[in-house]
Amino acid sequence: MKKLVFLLFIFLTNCSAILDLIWNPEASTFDIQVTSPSTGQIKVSFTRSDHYDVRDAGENDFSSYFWGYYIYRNSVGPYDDYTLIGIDYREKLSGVDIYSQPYHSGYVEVHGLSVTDPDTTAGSYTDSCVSGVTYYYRVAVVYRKWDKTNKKWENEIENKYSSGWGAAICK
Amino acid sequence: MKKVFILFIFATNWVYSLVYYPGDLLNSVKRTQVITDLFSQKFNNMYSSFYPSNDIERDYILSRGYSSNTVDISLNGENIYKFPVNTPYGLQELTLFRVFGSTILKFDEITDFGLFKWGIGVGLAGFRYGMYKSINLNSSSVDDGGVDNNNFSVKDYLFSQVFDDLIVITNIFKPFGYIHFGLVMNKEVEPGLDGMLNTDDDVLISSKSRLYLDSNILGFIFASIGYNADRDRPETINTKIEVMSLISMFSDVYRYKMPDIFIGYSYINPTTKDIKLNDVSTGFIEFYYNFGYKLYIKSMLEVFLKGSTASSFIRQSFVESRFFLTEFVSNESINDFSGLFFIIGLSSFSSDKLKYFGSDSSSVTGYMVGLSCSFLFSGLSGYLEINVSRDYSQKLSSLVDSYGHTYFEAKLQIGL
Repeated sequence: MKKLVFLLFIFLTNCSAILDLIWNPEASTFDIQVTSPSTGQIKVSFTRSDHYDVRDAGENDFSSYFWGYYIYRNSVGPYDDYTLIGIDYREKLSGVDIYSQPYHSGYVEVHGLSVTDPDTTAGSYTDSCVSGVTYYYRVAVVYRKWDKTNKKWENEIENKYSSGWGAAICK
Repeated sequence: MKKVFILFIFATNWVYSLVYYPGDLLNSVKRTQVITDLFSQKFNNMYSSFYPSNDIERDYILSRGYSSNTVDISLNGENIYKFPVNTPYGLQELTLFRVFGSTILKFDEITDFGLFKWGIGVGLAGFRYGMYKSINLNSSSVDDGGVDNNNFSVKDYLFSQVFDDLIVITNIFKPFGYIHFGLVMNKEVEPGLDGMLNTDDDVLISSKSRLYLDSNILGFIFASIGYNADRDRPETINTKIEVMSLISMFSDVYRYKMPDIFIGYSYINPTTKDIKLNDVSTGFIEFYYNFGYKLYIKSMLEVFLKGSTASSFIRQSFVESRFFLTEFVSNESINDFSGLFFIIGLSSFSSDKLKYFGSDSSSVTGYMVGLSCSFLFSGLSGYLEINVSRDYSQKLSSLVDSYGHTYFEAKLQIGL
């Protein structure tokens, strides 16, 4: 009962925090770690579990499913535009299920147009870099839309969560 | 001048220094006045609501938003773009936002004591202020598995983020009026370099609670007070009387054909724990009148009584008109109406603080234009409004920091 009263009090006194979620749904919500472990390499690390939200064979429960951790980079500053450079733990679809749609069969890692199959480590992405240059990174958790009515994949994707920025000077 | 000033202010704020900040954004007393005034206004709209029995009554309540009887939900959001601010990573153009929300439940005839009917109300309101930088995440030639390319964006919070909350319990003694007992909680948080809230590098700049008392006597005498228990003194006082309701008690003129005229007094002592500022007292008169539902006029004149060093003795004046454009639902019933309106307002505003934000003078004129849609469907009512304003007195009087910038505002209200 005390817990319930406490939770109710928290809810009642956090109207402004709820307004924040309504007004700023695109706010960055999770941390990433960026290091340069060796010459010409930068490693981007983060802890997420969204990659369990995949669509297995025959599933029709949700209107979108995990698609990949999109990795963005720039070498100008944390508040400048970023460009997509790759995808960590991108969903790999294969086969067809009862809806004649492909379903989850693993993950791949994408660097530009190059694909590494399989990707066995979620939340870890190694980028190549030029020594001495500072690189800024952000990660977006991207989901792909699923049409529950017609039971088929759509090509539209959405950014569910975004990271804050992380930076490292390339060794 | 403006840029240099803003750079200075925020550069010092970045390292959490306690400096004099002349604006309203970081003044918790001023913000307390703003959130309690808005709440009072919304609750009084509910208290004044009734089910119309003819077109004149319908047009009266529709024009003033007096159409929520038991439940009222409101959301107002404002963005001011391109605030030039110096950050550790260079000059950035940020968005200053503030969003207000309130939910009020009112049960005004729970027990009949003969002389009056007792009821209760519960209200919650929040006001969130802050600045963010919107950053583009652009797509490129990457093997994305055949999905559509999408450009996304992400927001990083920069500098102080403000969370003001208000919780109010109301005792209603119909027809004698009501009394609010409220608690305002002001919180200011610095999100740190990561641009995120609720992370380890957040710094709590201040957290403070204040008492709020408000009363409505006989439907036309209003008095509210914001009280700081630590300092043991009132920080804000607002009183006003609605003259026409008083006159109508002794007149045969049908009340809903008459205008509303408020005459009042307002006081604020914006001194905070760290900064000593002048008390400011003002007197004001407000006027509201509707010509059916086709035209609604509201205006205000507020004059300084004490504490201002502005060149003009008029703090603010405005005239705002709402013109009927078209009807969406054509129905003979007086309880069904839906229409589109055009709003335009002109104002003047004076404050010595304007000079801190780049104005050459302590007085400025402003405007507001917008569209609104009001609806009334058998007990369910509300409105949706979008407007654009610049240096409009009703905005500057609550956030003088916004001088010289264009406001984009959206309002939604739903009542039952």
